[in-house]
Amino acid sequence: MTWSGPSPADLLAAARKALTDKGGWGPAWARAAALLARQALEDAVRRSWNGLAAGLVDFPMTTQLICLPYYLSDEEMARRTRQCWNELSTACHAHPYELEPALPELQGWIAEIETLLRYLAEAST
Amino acid sequence: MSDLEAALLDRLTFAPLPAGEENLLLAAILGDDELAAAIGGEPPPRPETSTGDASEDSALPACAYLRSVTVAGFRGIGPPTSLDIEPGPGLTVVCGRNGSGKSSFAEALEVLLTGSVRRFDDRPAVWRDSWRCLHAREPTVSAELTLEGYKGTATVTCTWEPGEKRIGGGRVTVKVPGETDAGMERLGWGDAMRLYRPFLSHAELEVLLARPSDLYDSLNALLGLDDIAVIAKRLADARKRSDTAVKTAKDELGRLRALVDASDDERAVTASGVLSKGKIDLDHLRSLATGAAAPEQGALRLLNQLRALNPPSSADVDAACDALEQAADALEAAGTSAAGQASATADLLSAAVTHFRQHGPGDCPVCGRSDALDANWLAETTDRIHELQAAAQVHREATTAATRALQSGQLLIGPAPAVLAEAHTVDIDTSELAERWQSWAAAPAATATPSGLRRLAAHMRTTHGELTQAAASVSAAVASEVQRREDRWEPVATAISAWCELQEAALAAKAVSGGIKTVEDWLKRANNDLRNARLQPYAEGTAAVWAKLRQQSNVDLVRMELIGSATSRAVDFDVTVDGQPAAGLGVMSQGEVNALALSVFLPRATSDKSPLRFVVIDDPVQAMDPSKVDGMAHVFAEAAQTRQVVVFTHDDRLPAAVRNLGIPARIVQVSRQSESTVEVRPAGDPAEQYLREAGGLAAGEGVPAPVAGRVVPGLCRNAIEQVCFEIARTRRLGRGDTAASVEDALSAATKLMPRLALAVFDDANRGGEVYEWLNQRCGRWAADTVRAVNEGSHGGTTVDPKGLVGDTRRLVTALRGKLP
Repeated sequence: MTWSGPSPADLLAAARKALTDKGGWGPAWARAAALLARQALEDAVRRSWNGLAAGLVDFPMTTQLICLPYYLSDEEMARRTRQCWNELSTACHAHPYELEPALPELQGWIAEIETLLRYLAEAST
Repeated sequence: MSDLEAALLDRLTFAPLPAGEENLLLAAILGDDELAAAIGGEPPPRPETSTGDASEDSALPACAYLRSVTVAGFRGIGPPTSLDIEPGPGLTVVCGRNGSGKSSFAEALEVLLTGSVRRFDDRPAVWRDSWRCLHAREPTVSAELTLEGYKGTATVTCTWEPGEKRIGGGRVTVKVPGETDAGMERLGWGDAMRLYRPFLSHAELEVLLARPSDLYDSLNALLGLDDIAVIAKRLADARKRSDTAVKTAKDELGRLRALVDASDDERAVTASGVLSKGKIDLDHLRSLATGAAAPEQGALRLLNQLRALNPPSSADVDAACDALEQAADALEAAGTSAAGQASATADLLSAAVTHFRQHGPGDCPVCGRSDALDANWLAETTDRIHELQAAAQVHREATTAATRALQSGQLLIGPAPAVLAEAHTVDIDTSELAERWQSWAAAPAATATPSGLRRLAAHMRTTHGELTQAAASVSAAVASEVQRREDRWEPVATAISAWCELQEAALAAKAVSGGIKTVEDWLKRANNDLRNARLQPYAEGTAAVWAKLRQQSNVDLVRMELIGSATSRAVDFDVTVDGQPAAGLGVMSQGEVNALALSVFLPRATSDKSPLRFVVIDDPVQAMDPSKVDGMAHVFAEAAQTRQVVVFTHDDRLPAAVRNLGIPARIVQVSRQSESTVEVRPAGDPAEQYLREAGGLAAGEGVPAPVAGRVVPGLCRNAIEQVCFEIARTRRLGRGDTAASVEDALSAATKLMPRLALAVFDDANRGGEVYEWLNQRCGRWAADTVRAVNEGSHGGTTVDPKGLVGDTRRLVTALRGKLP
C-alpha cells in the first residue's frame, strides 16, 4: 500500500502550529487541531500494519485499536493510544452542550501522539 | 437621624416604654458613654425629629453599567484582552471551556470593584497568591463603566506594584473624563458593593447557604438593621456589668462576713450583727469602720477611760505645795498664841475705853489700882487697841490663806479611780499605779497649822513623783494596747468600707438591670418585626425566582425568614416537599440548593436601591438539572429587562437554552491559546458557525489546501450533528418530553448516523435507514455528502473542500426545512 498526502508527522506539526499560530485557522483553530491530531494518530496506526498485519488496514479504527496490543511489543503504549483516540473522537464530534476542546487538552493529546510516532519510528528500524 | 433610629422612634409611638426605659433605649442608640450616663441617671439628649425629606439632600450615587473589561497578566489571561459588553440592560452569556480564561474576566472584575475574590478568601495562600499570569509581566485590570447622567465613560483601573503578593493589594484609580484621577469613592457607591454584591461565582453558590450566620449577616446588612445588633450588645454589656456588680457584692459579702467573724474586735461583733440583717444598714457599717461611733461599753471604752486617766500635773502639785508652805510661813509670822488672843484683848480694852468715856478717870475696876485710868492710860490704851486690832487682822488673813491652801492641796489628792481595778480585763497592769495612788491618797490628817500644812506639802512632794511615773507607764501600756487593737481592726475596717462601696454600686445596678432587660426585650421584638417586614420584598423575590427555577422539583419554598440572633442567627427556609412541610435544606439536591442560592442572590443583587445595574454570575449551571437551565434562562432574561446580566458558563447548556427559548441575548465565546493569549469572539447559531469556519478554510484562507482538506470534513460533520440535535430537541421538547429525557437521548447517540436517525426518524437505532431516506427525500447528493463528511473526517477520502462545504450547507438547510 502506498501513502500520499501529508504524513502523520506533517499532520501533527500542523496541529501543533494551530495551537501557537491560529492565524491560518481562524476561529476553527481548536477543532482543526483536534481533527488533525486524530488523523495523525489514525494514519500512524494504519501505516504500522504494513510490517505486521497488512489486512487490518481496512477494518474500522476501533477494531484496529483493539488489535494493537497484540502487535506492539509495548502494551502500555497500545493502551494509551486507544485512550487518546477515544478522547479525540469525542472532541471531533459535536456534543450536546460541549464547547470546543481547550488548550491544555489539545496539548496533552498532541504530546501523546508524538510519543506514539517516535515509538513506531524506533520499532520499524 | 439614621433610617434605623427613625424606625425605632416610630415604633416607640405604638409600642411605648416607661420613661426610664425609653431613656435607656435612646442612650443605647447614641453610644456607650451615653448609656453609661443614662444608667447613672442622666437622661440622654432627645433625638431631633427631622422635618425635611432626608432623601432629597443625600443624592443617590450614579447608576452604573459595564461597558468593557480589559484584563492583562491576571490568572489565565496573558496579553491584554477585552470583553465588550453592551452597556445597558440585557443578557450576555460568555462561554468557554474550563481553562479558557472566562472566569479570569469574572474574577478580574470582582477584584477590581470589590478588592478581593470571594472564591479565594478562605483558601490557603497557595490559592490566593498565584493570581498573576505566568505569561505576562505586570497585571492590569480595568473596566469601562457607563454612569447614568454622565457623558463619556468612567474607567476603573487596578495595577499592582511589582512583587505585590496580595490579590487585593492593587491600586485602583477611577478616571472620569474631564476630572482628575480619583479612588473608588468617586463612584459614590458607598456600601452598595457590600450590601448588593453583584458577583456570584459557582464556588460561592455552593457555600452561600452553607453558613447560615454569614447569609443572615449579609441579608441583615441589606435590611439596614445590623446596627440593632450593636445597640443590643451595648445593652447586654451594660446589663452584664450590672449583674456582675450585684454578684460581686454578694460574693464579697460572704468573704466580709468571714473576715468580720474571725476578728476578735468588739466592733466586729456589732458589724456582724449589722451584716446578718436582711437589709444592711450601710451608714452604721461605715461608722464602725471609720470609728465615728464611740463605743458605749466594753474594752474600748475602758481603754479610752484609762487613756483619759491623768494624775494631777506636777505644775499643779508644785503650786499647791508652794501655797501650803507659804501659808505655813504666814501663820507663823502672824504669831502663835498671843496673836490668837489679840482680838479678844482689843475687845476688852475697847470696853475699858468705853467705860472711861462714860465714867471718867478713876480706879481700875478690874484690879482696883487707884487712879489707874487717866488721860495717859486712855492714850496708851487707844494705841494698844489699834496694835492689837492690826495683829488680829494679820492673823485672820493667815488663817484664811492656810485654810484655802489646805483645801487646794486636799482637792488634788483623790482616791485611785475605780477604773484601775478593771484594767486587768484589758491586760493592763495597774498594780504599781494603784499602789502609788494609794500612797498619794494616804495624806496626813489635815490641820491648818504651820506644821500641818508643811506635813501635807511634804507628803505631796514625796509621793507625786512616783505617782506620775507609774501613771506614765500605764498610759504607755494603754496607748500600745489601743494601737495593737487598731492595727488588727484596720484591715477589717478597710474591707467594710470597700464592701460598702460595692454594695452601693450593686444596689444602683440592681435598680437599673431590670430596666435594661425590658429595653432588650423590646429591641428584640422590634428587630424581629422590622427585619421580617423589610425582608418581605426580598423573600418574595426569592420565592418568585425559585418558582421559575424549580421546574420539575417537588420542593416548594414557602417562606424565608431571618431567625435568632447572636450565635444562633440563621436564615430559615420554610419548604414543602409534595405539599408536606419538610425540614429545610436537607431535602434538596445539590442542584436545588444551588438554584435556591441563586434565588437568594438575584433579588438582593438587583435591588432597586442598588446603583450597581449589573450582575456577574460565574458558572451557575454546574450540578444543575437541564430543566433548571431553561428556568434559569428565563430568570436571567427577566432580570435582564432592567439589569445588565453577565453570565459566564463552561458549556453550551445555557446558550442552547437561550437559543431554544428564543431569549434575546448576546453570546460570546472565550478561548485560550498558548502563552495565555485569550480570544473573545461572538458566537451565534453553532451550526452556522461550523459552516462559516469550514467555508473560510475551504476558500484557502491561510492554510495549505491538503491540510485544510483534512479538517473541513470534520467541521462539516459537526454542523450536521448540531442541526440533528436542534431538530431532535425542538421536536421532543415541543411534545412535552422532560428536558432531562431529551438530553439523555441526545447524549446516548454518539455518532453521526444515530444522530441523523434521531433527527429523521426520532429513533437513534434506525441509522441503517438514513441513506435511503436521504436519497428519497433529498437526492443522491445528500447521502453522498454525509458519506463524504464521515470518511473525510478520518482523512479517508480526498474531497473538494469548497464543494463539501456547499453541499453541507444545502443539507443543513434541507434538514431544517423538511423536519419539524
